Amino acid sequence: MTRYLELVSPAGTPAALRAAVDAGADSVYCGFQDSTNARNYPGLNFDADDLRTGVAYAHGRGTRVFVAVNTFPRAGDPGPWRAAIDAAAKAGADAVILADLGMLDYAANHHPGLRRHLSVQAAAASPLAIRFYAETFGVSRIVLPRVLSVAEVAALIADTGIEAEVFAFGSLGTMVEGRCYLSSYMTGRSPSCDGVCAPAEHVSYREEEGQLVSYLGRVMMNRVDAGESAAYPTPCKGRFSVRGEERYLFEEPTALNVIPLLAELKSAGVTALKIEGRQRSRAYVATVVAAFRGILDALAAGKPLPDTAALRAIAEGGRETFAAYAKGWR
Amino acid sequence: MAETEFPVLLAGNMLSLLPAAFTTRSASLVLRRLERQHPRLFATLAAHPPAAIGIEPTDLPHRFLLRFGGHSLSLAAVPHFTQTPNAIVRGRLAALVALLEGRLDSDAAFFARDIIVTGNTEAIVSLRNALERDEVDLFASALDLFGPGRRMARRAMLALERGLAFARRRAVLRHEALHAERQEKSPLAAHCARLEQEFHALSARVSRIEVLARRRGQIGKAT
Repeated sequence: MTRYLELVSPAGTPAALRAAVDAGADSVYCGFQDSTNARNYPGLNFDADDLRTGVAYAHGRGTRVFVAVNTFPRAGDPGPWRAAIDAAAKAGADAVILADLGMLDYAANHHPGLRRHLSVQAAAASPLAIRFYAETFGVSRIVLPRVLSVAEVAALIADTGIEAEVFAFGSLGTMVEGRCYLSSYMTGRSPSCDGVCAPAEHVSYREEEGQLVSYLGRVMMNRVDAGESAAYPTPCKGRFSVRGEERYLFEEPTALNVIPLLAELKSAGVTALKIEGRQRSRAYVATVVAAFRGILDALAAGKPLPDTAALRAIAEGGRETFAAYAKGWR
Repeated sequence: MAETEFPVLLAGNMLSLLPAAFTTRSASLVLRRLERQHPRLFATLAAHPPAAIGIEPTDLPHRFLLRFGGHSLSLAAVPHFTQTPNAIVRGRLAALVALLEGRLDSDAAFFARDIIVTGNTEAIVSLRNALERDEVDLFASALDLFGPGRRMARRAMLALERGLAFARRRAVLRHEALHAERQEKSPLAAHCARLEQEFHALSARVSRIEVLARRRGQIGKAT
C-alpha cells in the first residue's frame, strides 16, 4: 500500500517504543535520561542499552528510530550533548533531532552518515532559516514550529523543497518554541537547557474548598471545579486574573488534532506527522498511533475513515483544536 | 500490556471483607513476587530518595501506604495516614489497578478526574514512569501465589468475577426498574441535552465551513 504520510510516534520508555511499533508507527522518536532532550522527567527515557534494544526491535519490524538531542548545551558544558549524539549513532539510530547550531556542526562533522533532523526547538519558520540549516549542516528534515497555518506550511515547503514533519496530535506549547522562559523564571530550571518545563518537583496539587488547585512552585496556576477537566500547571496554560476576568491568558489546555486537515497537509507537501507526548503512557501511545494508523491507511486506500472518538478521551483537557493551522489572524 | 483484565469486582469484595493486617500480608507476598519478576523496576524504586505515596481506592474501606526509595519498599493497608504522604492518589480500584498495569493512560484519567492526585508530584511521576517501563500483570503475579493450583485458581476467580458482574448488572436493572416511575424528568436537564445536541451540530457545521473557506483561500492566509 502506498504510504499516505509517515507517522512518527513518541516513546518515553522502551515499553512505549514497543507499543508504538506494534500499533503501526513508521518511525519512533525518543531521548536519553538526561538534560540533552526536551522531555527530561524523572524515570523517563532511555539509556544506551535501552536504545540499542529498542532500535533492534524497531528495525526488526521495519520502523525507524530518531533520537532527540534537542536542548541547548549549557555554556562550557557540551560534553553530554556530544555523548548523546555519539550514543545515538552507535546504537544504530536512523536520525538525530537537533536544535543547537554547535551540535548540528558536531553531528555533521563526526557522524556525516547519520541523518540530521531540525528540532521544533530551533523554531525555524522562514525560508532563509530553513535553507541555512539545510545548506550549512545538511539537515534532511525540519520539524516545523506549531505557529504556522496550513497555507504557510505549504508556502515554506514549496519555497525550500525541504522534507517537512509537522505536529499532528498532542499537547501544545505557546509562542516561539525553544525560546520560552516562563518555566525557567518560575522554577529556575530551563525547558531549553534542562529539558523540562514545569518540573515535577515544583508541581503540587491541593484540594481547597471543593476545587483542585495546582501550583508551580509557590505560584497558583489554576483552580478547577469538581466537574471541570484538570490540567498540568505549565505556565503557558495557567488561568490568570486579567482586568478582573479569570481566563487562560496564553494557551488553553487542549490537544492538537489534525485529522480533519490531513488531506490539506498532504497537499501542502508535508512528509511526516509527529505525535507529541514522550511524557505520556504507553497506553496513550498505543491508542493514538493505532487511531492515526487506521486513518492514514484508510486515506491511502480511499476507504471510509474509522471512528477516532478514543482520541478525545486522552486529549489534554479532554478537548481538541486545530491550533495555528486554522487560525486566520497573525 | 497485561493479557487478562484484573478481576476487580472479586478483589474489591475480598479486600472489603479482609482485615487490614491480612491485606498487608497478602500485599507483601505479591510485592515479593513482583520483585522477582521485575528486578529493574524494584531497583529503580529502591534507588529513589525515600518517598511515601498514599493510595485511596474510593470503593474500599482501606487506604494503602506505599513506601519506596532509600533501598526499601513496602505496601501496607492502613485505616488512615499517620503522617501526610508526599502525594496521594485517589480513584476507584479498577482505575488504580489499570494504572498499575499500564492499561490506562494516567494523564487522561487525571484530566477526566477519574483519579485525583494531590501533594507533590515528583515521587508520583517517578513511580508512574518506573511502572511504565515494566509491563506489570498484577493478576498473574497474585495467581503465582497459588503455586501448582494457579490454573484452577485463575478459572475459579474469573468465574466468580463473571458471577459478580452478572449479579451487579441485575441489581442495577432492578434498581432502575423500581425507581423508573418515581423519576421525574428534569426540564433543565432536557433543555441542556437539547442545547448540547444543537452545539455539536453547529460545531460540525462550522468545521465544514472552515474547511471549505480555507480551500477557497478565504481564511488561513497570513495577513
